[in-house]
Formats: sequence, structure tokens, C-alpha cells
Amino acid sequence: MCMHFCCVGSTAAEENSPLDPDHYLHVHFSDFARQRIDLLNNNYSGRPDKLLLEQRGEAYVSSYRRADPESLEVLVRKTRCETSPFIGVMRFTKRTFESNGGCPESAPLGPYHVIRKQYVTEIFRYDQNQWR
Amino acid sequence: MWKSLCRTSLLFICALVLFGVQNAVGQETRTVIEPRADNFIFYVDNSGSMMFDYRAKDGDKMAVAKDLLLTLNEDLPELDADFGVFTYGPFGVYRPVSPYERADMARAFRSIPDEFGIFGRRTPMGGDLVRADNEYISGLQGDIAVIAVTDGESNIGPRPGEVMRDMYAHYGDRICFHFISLAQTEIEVGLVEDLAGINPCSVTIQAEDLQKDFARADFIREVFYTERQVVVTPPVEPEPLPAPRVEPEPEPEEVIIFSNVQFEFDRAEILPQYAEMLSEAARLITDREDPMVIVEGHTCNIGPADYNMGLSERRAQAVADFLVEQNVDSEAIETEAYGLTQPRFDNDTREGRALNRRVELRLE
Repeated sequence: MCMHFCCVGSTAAEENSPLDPDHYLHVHFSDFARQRIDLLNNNYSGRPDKLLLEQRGEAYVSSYRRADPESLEVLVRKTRCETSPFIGVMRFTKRTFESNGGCPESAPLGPYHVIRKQYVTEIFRYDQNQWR
Repeated sequence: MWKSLCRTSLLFICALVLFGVQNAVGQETRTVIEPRADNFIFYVDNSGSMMFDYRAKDGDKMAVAKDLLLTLNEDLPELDADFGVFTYGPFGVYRPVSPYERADMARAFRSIPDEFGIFGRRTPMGGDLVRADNEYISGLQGDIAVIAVTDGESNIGPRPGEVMRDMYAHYGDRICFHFISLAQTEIEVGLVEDLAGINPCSVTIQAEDLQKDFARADFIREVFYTERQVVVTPPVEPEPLPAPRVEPEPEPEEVIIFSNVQFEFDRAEILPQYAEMLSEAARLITDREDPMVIVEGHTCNIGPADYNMGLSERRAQAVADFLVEQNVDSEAIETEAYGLTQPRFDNDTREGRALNRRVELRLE
């Protein structure tokens, strides 16, 4: 599977070089990344306003996921491709919280503890003035 | 005294008005785009007459129509609505009515045949519309906009005007027909005008005007979406959950997630425009010492479970193959397919389903 058909022209030094944080595209991508965090937090299948409740054996488990906006790091890199001249990389910490209980009513009451921690990387391309 | 009282009252009223204005001016608003219908169906003439030249532009009518549809698709905002692409003369379904995805719409438009014989390829605009209605439109929920791409010809089967009148009578306000016209003769132009005149909701544009940016923008606004300003109010915070217990957190995992790498509809080949994104992932992997990667394929809950399982398996394998081409050691890569069994996001919303259609690279 050949993937080089969109790549033209730039030097090795220019390609893959990260943009300065003051570059307008870096700022643009930072805004996009913050909105992306909100989108993820509003759509996790378990979230604080819509907890996920499961039965495991005789116990009930309430859980939710949360992407931590404070952990967000971003980077924008120039590519060799005309169709996608820049890519944006965002990295953040996502935690899954769980609380156990003997019945469906008590499980969501907490306390919750972190049962899973992930460093999540998502990568986007810049195309027609949008991050996709 | 009365003058003093009047003056004071007037000052008080002015202060109230100014306060109201200031309050309104001080409020933050944002523009919300809403689709004008729940379903948009492109109904494209693919009959022999479309192989004749379109005088206003270089090329035959079919090539001109496809080019304009691709341009229009690039300008459409990301609408929360379902889109389908059908043809008539002969009847064809190039995209079933399904959530809007720009790349997939472009694929559908490109797939419409544009090289075929003229003779024997009649134009059953009305008859194929009856078929589209019986087999697809009648099962749709919500409002329906049909965008007919027509050269004003219909020369076999029921008259399109009668069919459209019947559909207006059946669906009422739920349906509206719009027209992208490649009509050239007086008779052709007359037919399009007659069809558009059935209902005042119709919007018509001549094909050569659709190429003009401002005219195309107006057409898109009039047919596809409305804008309104909404006051941004602070969200009501839900009752806070008890603070999580403070205790050592589990060892963190590294994962790279792609919920935006699109594939050809029902296929697993990676589209070229996503190569750089996947190359970046390959770079992140090869930068690690002794990388081990598990490529997981996931889908949303639309479609049968076994179909989704197969699709996620093929997509995970496509990504794994790409990583190998980018010098990731093939021995370090495993693939796992989960289909719809492990949603991370809410399948009850469009956004959630789109996020569930993802490939995850778990790094170990």
C-alpha cells in the first residue's frame, strides 16, 4: 500500500518540524483540542451526569470516565503533504472511576476510586481550514 | 412639582431601558446551525440525455453535474442529518440514507456513471421517484428534502409533476423538492419551472450559477440549514459526585486513538488523506524502546453484530499493515477486533456513535 503520492517538495528540515507555540495554527489547534476534550467528556458512555451501572456477580459497580483538561498537551507539525500540510497531536490523561455497592442505589453514592489511567494521544490533520 | 416628578420618572424609565439594553448587549451569544430537514436526498438524472453537452460550460451535463455536486459537498457544513444519493434512468442507490460524512458523500457522487450510451437510456423521472418513495423515502423519519438534479427531461412513465403532487399530498409539510437545473431548451426549462412551482418551499438554481461562490452559498443556506443566535448560559452543574479516594493511581497505559480516520463505505482500505496521521502514530511507536502494539478495531452499534465484527477486524488489519509499511516491526503488532462490543461512548447520540467508530493502538 503506497502512501507517498501526496508528498511533494519540502526539505527534510522543513518536514516534521513542530510549530512555535505562538504560531496561529498552534493556537487554533489548542482551541480545537480543548473543545475536543469537552466533546469526549460529554459523550463517554459513563460520565458524571449519566453514570454507567453494571452488575458484577453479586455487587453493583458504578463508573464514569473523564478526560482531564488540565493534562492537555498539544503539538502541531508541518508535513510533506499538500493535501494535509499540518498535523496536530493532542495528548491528555483519561481516568476511569468506579464505586462498588451491594445494590443499584448504593453503588453510585461513592466513594469512587481510579481503576484505570491512560495517556491518550489523538492525531488530526489540517484540511481546508479545519482540523479533522 | 409635577415637572420634577415627570423628569424623575423619565430618568428612571431611561435608566431601566439602558439597563435592559446593557444587559442584552452584555450577554454572550453564539451561532447555531440547524439542518432544515432530517433527511436530504440527492435524486440525480443519470439518463441518456445527460450525455449531451451543457452549453453554458465545457463538458456534457453528467460531468458538469458531478463536478458541481462535489463542489457543493465541500461547502456543506457538518450537519446532523442523514443524506442519501440516488439516480434515475436507471434507478440506483449510491449512498443509502445515513448520517452525513463528507468523504463518503464525495465517494457516492464520484461513483455515479458518467460514460454511457445515449440511446435506449430513457428518463423515467416520475417512475423512479415512485420507486425511491416506495423503497426508501416512505421509511424515513422526520422531514425530507429531495434535491433533484435534472435537465428537465422526463420521457417515460408517470409524469414527475403528478408523482410530486401525490408525495406532497401524502407527506404534507414534511417534504420539499428542490432543483439543480441543467435545463436548456424552452420545454426543459418549462418542466423544471412547473415542478418547482408545485410548492412554494422549492428552491431552484441553474447549474452554471451553482458554480458561483455566493450563489452556491445562498443555495446551501436556503436548502440545507438555518442559523440562529442563542444566548450562551452557563451550564447547570450537576450535583457533584463525592471526591474520589486519594490513593496511588494504577500504572498508566499509553493509547493512540483514531476516531477520525475514515474508510470507504463498507470497506477497510485507508483513504490517502489519513496517511500523515498514521505515519505520526508509527513515529510515536518506533520512538519507543521495544514497542509492542495491539491494534483494536471498534464500531458503533449500527448494523448486525457479526458484520461489525468483520468490519472492525478488517480495519484493524489495514492499520496494522500500514504500520508495518512504516517500519514498525510486524512481530511487535497484534490485532484484535471488538466490533460493537466495547463502546466507550454513548451510542444514543450521533456524536457518540461517531466516536465509537474508532481504531485504538494500545502500546505495551
